[in-house]
Amino acid sequence: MIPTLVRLALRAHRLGLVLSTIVALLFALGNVFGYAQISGDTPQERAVFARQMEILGRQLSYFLPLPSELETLSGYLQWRHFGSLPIVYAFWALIAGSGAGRGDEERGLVPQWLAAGVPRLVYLASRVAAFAILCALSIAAMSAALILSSRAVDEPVAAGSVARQAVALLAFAVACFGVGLLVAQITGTRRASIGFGGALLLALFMWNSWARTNGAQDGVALVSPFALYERSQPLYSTGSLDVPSVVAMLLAGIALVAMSALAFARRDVGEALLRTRRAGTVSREPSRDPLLRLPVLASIDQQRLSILGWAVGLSIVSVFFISLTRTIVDQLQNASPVLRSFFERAGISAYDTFVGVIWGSTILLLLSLYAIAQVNAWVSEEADGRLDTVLAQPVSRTRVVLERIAAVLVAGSVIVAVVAVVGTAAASSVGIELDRSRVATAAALLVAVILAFAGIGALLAAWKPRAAVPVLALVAIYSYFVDQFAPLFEWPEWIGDATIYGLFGAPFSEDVPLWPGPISLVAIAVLGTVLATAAMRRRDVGR
Amino acid sequence: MDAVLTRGLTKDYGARRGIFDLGLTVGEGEVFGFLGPNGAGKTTTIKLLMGLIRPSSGSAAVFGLDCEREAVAVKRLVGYVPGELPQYGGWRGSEVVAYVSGLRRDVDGAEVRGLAERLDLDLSRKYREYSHGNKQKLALVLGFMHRPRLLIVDEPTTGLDPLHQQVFNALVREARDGGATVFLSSHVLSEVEATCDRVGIVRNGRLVTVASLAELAGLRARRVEIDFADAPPVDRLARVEGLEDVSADGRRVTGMLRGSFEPLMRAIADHRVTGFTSREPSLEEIFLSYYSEAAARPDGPPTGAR
Repeated sequence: MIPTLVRLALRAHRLGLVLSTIVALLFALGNVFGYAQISGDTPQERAVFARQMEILGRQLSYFLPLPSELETLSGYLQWRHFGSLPIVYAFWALIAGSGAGRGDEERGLVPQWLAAGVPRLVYLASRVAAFAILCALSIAAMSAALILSSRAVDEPVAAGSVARQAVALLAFAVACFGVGLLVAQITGTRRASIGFGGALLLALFMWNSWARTNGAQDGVALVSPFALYERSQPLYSTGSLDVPSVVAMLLAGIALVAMSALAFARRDVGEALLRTRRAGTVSREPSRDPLLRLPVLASIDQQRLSILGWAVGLSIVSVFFISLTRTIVDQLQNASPVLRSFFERAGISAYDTFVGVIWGSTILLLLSLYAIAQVNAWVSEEADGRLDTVLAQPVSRTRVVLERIAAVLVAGSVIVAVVAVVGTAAASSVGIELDRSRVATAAALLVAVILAFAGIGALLAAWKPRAAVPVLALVAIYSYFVDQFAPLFEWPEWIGDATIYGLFGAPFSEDVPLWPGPISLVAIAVLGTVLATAAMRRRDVGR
Repeated sequence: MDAVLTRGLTKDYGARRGIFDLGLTVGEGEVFGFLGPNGAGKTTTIKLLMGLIRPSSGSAAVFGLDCEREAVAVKRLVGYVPGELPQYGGWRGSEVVAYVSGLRRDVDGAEVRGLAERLDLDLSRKYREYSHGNKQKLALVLGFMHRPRLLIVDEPTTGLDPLHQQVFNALVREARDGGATVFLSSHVLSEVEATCDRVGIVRNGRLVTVASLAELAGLRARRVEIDFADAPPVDRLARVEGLEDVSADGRRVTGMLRGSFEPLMRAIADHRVTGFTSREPSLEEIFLSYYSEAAARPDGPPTGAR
């Protein structure tokens, strides 16, 4: 029975394995070949490149570790590649941990296993083991690609160093999996566990960012697995694997899994660990909430907590990064007098530009996730049979599609508006006055990006529901990588512009003409919606 | 006007799965039972009537409205209780009712209260906290709350306790008395027996027969049980004209008798009989009898769809 259990557990994590490995491989190959392309051939060229890249790296210190040894491929990979990967693996670990702790239970699989005589501990152990095995495989594949591609560009990185960094990454992923698993025991639904677990990991990430920016990474920051992970830097000539940090991450992972097992043993299947007792009153009345009875607003009403969560979460992220702006930019300008004089001559406020970087990358990426989460909810609506109930009422299929898009438009606009207002106020409070018209343009473009994702998602949800989320994730990943690599590889401008993130442009630092950006984004949304209504009308609905 | 009319209705999923060439008429005000085992094509037929899936060929109409082209208009007239219950997660029952009421806009709050009261359903609880039976009750409230002209219910009493099965039967009778038509799919024959005027039997995606309950009962055999004082004449009984499925258990012989009692009486006349029971077979036995008959023929006998 246990081999079967492990086989099924391996199967349960396969989508995460595939997507995470694709991202990690693309990132590995992109970084190696990108470095070879742009870093120059002579020591002088390398030194110039390293200096420029260091300036960029310091600008991104809210996001990535501080750079070093950028004149070598090893150093570049330590900073850019292994500095970014924790985000990818933390995301997978969170989703996998939530799935193992709550998702299988919601699908009725856990009761079946327990009824078949599988002890709870064995069930949980199988899921943990499966994740660890697949995560190790994914990291091994990425490491192999890194080593082979570095040989292909005649600048081989030391396999031993890569292997040591891979061990740190695996330990980090196991710790994050433990976070997801434990939160799933405490919360009542998978959705809630992803929300709370994501918020917790984001807080730990931001905690480390704050500590890094303020030079406090050796102290209290070490409660964050992100900080522990960054202590290992074996690809630097003077760096090494920080064994105590790796052991700490592994022990944290094991402790979190043990606590999850304890919680799982103590709680009822299908219930959260902490449960409030219900009031004894009985009601036969329909809800008096008037919004539930109105088109579009009914959908918004159902998502009110989720919308609030996204608005508050993204506002906190914005405030946090904006609060770091002065520190980072001042450090940057002190490190580079050339850059300072350049900004002064050009009359550019470096603070404004930096805030624009945050809006143009972090918030954009998180709002794409919001749109993908909405599409996932549409797919679930059909898989869970709720769409059957809607279509059993006098409601046309066209209305279903249009209401979905309208709900995303309204909810997305609310979230973006809150984030824009909070971000502008936060910037003002630290003495950075943002150009209001540029903020408004950026906000409108962010809504257009959400709509473009929603339009593609609506089509996929109506046409091939199972493919909707993976394809949208690939669209986001593709856009992100092209956005990152098009300048490095000096690809033609149109390739960078022809992605969703490329169409968003840089509204904080330059004017955005209606064509191609905004018009294209709206056109994608409209075309996706029109095709979605056609697909929805023609297909069979139901489980 | 017919409440339900299908002509050559076919949904072919391949590998002989689906429903094939269904010709069916259900009159207004009628309670029609649609019987068949799992996988026979009952739910497929219902999804075609609800316009949730598209037919491979043929057509279906409800009160003269095409189920595919005029789906929205059809749904104004129909109340639907699905066989597979949807998942509403953390919604409260009251929120589900309010949401669906908002989609319909023809729901009377008093009707909801009355249904919830009769079914003893607490609408303040979260859906995920409901037992299977309570989820089924909520589905019944959603199906009945707008007093539809046509009720399409797919295996509606699954998970209900006997008390609430009785409530469901009463609801169906009241709906019929109020002029509604009921299309009830089931493999639980007792609920069909308790509520339906006519029954259609479907097997392997094909309609085997349509008949009134009375006609169905008249077509079938009688169940006989004979207790003998000595060893029973099993071989002789097996040759009796009209006596089928003969089996012996000690001194008791049972079988299904079609037609006259005369040949059986002659066969046992020379033996001491200590007990003789003849009874109306249950619908279950009729149902099985139809299947065994139909199985013996290549395509079954699709008889009078009225």
